[in-house]
Amino acid sequence: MSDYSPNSRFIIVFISIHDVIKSERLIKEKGFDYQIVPVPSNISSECGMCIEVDGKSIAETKIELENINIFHNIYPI
Amino acid sequence: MNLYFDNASTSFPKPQEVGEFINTYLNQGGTYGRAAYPRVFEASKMVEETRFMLSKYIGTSLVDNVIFTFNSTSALNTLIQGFSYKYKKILISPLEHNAVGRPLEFMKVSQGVNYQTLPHDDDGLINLDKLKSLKLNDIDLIIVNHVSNVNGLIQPLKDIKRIIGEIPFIVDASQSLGKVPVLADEWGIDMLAFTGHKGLNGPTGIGGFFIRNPKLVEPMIYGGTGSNSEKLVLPKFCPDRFEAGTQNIMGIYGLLGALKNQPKIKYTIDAYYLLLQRIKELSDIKMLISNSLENQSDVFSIQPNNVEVSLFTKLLYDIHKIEVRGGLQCSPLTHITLDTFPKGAIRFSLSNFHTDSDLNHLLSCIIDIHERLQSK
Ligand SMILES: Cc1ncc(COP(=O)(O)O)c(C=O)c1O
Repeated sequence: MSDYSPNSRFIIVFISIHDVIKSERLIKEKGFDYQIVPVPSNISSECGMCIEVDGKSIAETKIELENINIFHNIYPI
Repeated sequence: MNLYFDNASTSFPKPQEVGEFINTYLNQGGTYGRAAYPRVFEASKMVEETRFMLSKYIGTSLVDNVIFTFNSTSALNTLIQGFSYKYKKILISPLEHNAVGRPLEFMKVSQGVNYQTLPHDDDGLINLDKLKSLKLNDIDLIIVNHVSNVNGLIQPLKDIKRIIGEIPFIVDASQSLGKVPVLADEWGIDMLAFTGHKGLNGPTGIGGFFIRNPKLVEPMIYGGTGSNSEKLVLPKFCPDRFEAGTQNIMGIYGLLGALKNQPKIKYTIDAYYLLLQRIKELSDIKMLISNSLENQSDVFSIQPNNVEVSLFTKLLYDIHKIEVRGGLQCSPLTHITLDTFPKGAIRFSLSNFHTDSDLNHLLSCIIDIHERLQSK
């Protein structure tokens, strides 16, 4: 169903801290495995935070974020 | 006995959690965004929780559009100075504070933006019938102080917005937020300024505004946001667009402590109305309240006829240790409307911590000072 391999990990990058915090709450409520990590410098020179999730939850996380119109980009790591 | 009746200046006491939350912040540290270690994440989460709780008080679902500033004065300056004026005409309520009056005067001198007062009754209540018949097609902006910091009058925001239609509407909620219900989405309020240290019972140095359409206003402060840093222009999205620079995170923690622990009102409305009634019955005192108790908040003022306001205020403190504010309360426009300019008035403002016996005591102190000065 999804392009996301269940054995990989992904990071989700947001435009603002406001969106990171809002999304973290949602991912936490879902009970997914996640971690707050710095945005890798090959993705952005921004030293802010993003959310790392595993391949099993990324597809559903993406749908949830789209449902509440949170702009984000997903990168495999 | 709680003798502090200057809560419209800044509320006191604060819920004890205000100090506890500030202390937690001072011990934990951390800034908003800009890194990803847990200390920063925790602080950022608290900031966002505060923003979310404030959105509930404001009555909006647009949480991102709730912006932190230092107080409502800085919020109102951003909104008034950052707005782009097409016709250069603003209408304001007759009960504005200098936090609105002075930025408007600055806009008048610097950009030729003129302001006029909305039609009103003698207590400053905006007259809806007259407003309906006003020609509004060349008005850029309408600004209304929700609750007067002098006579405590509550303006009917919902009805005003219904009449003015699409014209952008700024509400000064400095005195109302936390005390009087605000329903920004339901009433169609476009922008709203608030401060943390009055009715919300938080610390000083934290306030903010709500803006429904951020495109209407250019930011006043430019700088780092921890987002889009490769570009030299501020991001367009909220809240970052209006939150350049490190915010008062310590103040935000304190405000969150307050929002989570708002004191329930301890005095009864009957005791308050009785206090107003008894003062009204005193001779030689002009009472500044709304004409109808329906529109009355917990702020009111008096102007003694033949006595200096400063003397009355001083005696209240010297003899009874009652703390109140005499003078113009930073609101010359209001006092002109109420015909109490330039002498001013003595203002009393309650807190939810006051009890019926505090109000009774206040009444006896006012009567005592009044009698002493009358018999002089
Ligand atoms: C109606 C009104 N507007 C604005 C302000 C300014 O609030 P602050 O000093 O917190 O900016 C006050 C407080 O004095 C006020 O009563």
